[in-house]
Amino acid sequence: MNAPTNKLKDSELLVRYMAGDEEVFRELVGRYKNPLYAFLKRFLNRQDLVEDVFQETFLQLYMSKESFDTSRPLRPWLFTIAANKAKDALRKMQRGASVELGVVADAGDVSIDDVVNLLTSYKITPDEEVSGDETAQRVREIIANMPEKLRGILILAYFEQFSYKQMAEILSIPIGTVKSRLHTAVVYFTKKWKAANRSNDK
Amino acid sequence: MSNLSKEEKEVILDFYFRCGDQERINQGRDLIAGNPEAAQLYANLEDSLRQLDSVKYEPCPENLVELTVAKLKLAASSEQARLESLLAAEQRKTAHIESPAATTSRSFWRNVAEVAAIAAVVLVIVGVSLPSLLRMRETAVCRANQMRIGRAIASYADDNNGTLPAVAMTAGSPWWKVGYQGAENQSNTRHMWLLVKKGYLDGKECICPGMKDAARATYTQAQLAKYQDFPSRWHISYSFTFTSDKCGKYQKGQRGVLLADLNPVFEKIFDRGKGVSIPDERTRVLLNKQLLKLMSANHAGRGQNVLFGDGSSKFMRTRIVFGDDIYTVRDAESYSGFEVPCDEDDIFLAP
Repeated sequence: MNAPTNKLKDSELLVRYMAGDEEVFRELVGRYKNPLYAFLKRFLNRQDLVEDVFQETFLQLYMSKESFDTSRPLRPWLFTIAANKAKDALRKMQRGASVELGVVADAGDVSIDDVVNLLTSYKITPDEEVSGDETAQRVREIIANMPEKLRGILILAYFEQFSYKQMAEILSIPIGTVKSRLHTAVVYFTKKWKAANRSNDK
Repeated sequence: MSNLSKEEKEVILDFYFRCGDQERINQGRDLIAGNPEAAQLYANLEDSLRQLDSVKYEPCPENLVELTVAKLKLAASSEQARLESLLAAEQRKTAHIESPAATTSRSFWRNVAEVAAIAAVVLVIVGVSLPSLLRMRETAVCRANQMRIGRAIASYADDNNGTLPAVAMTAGSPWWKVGYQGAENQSNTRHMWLLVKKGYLDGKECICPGMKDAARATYTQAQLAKYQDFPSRWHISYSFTFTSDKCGKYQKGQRGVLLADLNPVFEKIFDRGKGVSIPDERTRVLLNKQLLKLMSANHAGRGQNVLFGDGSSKFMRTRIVFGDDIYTVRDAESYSGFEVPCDEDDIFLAP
């Protein structure tokens, strides 16, 4: 008799998942559905793409059983697949579309000094001035309009709290690039947030 | 102007995102605690990015989970099917390569099948050709017999002033009483019996292998001394040219027919049960269309070997040799066993 699937460790679960054990499919998907769904929602901001990539990610995990070392932690691996699938989905979607908003902002690195300077001059917007719903809407817009590379790193760092090393693996980029991109993402967001509130204040 | 070093700024950011290792995080905590400028930077960072928290995302919808699990099951089952077919193919391959028993058995049965197929073809060919091969052999042996008889006649002629082997046939005697051992010469086969009796010919050589019910035809000296003729119809399967006292001399290489396979016209006079034929005075053979067409029974009615005067033997599909029917007396349609050829050109091979 097998142990209940919800008691299994990730690695045990993964071994059975890779072996095509249908019993554990639901358990494994259940364990990672929310973080993965949230990540994809933030990153893609389009329900159809989110759902496609969500399914493709779990399928890919099953298909890549031959190349995957089941002793490695599952979460970063799952996010790696998801990030790649999401990027592919965006690329496909943008292929026919006009030049993306993010292209300009993506150009050039932002130094840590830029981040600090920006934050130093940052004026806190009083919460009471804007409703929670409005704030959320603005933030969503900013994230949606962020260059893909910055958006990805910001979500992974802020919401998923991956380490630099894990993010470097997930995004297949050097740790230095992870850091500079994260700084750029912070500057980008702060600038956009300020701008949004200024226009809103008028 | 910030007094923080670049390194310190980075430590604060790393601390904020909890992205560095534990030492780096501790370093950041200490810096913020001891340096107001660092604390301010951290506060500003937090203040800016906490806006991100305002975005609340709903949990993953359950139908998406169901859909994903369903797709996984589908992939697993198709994968399973693919694996099974691959495994089966591999096993077949392995069995073929590695198992000598399987290979032996396989090639054994393949060989059996091939041999069986070839055997079937051979059987069909043999089945079709064997009777004809046997007939060819019979015909060849028969022809050899006739040529042997031809040589025996020549030897006899050499020893007897060039005359054919002949017994004295009294005028008015029948020529068809084959097997009659009385003192009178009433059978045309008696001439040939001379050859056997006098040792020119072996009794076996007087029998065509194609003749049904043929006797063994080996004679003891006592039998040779006692018999005046072949013991029965089954001891002589050739019909000799009609010979009488007036029939001339034998000349080597002479034109003419010496003998042939058994005359088919007078078959009815033989008692097949007794193997002898002693027709009486009332016996008649009337020619009809059928009797005129018959070939010798020795070769199943296909034709007959004919021994010519020059000692050669030839298989002929017709009874007409040199323009004459060799089995009948010219113009004679009713036979009572006394008919004689009209002239030298009227060939008659009497039974």
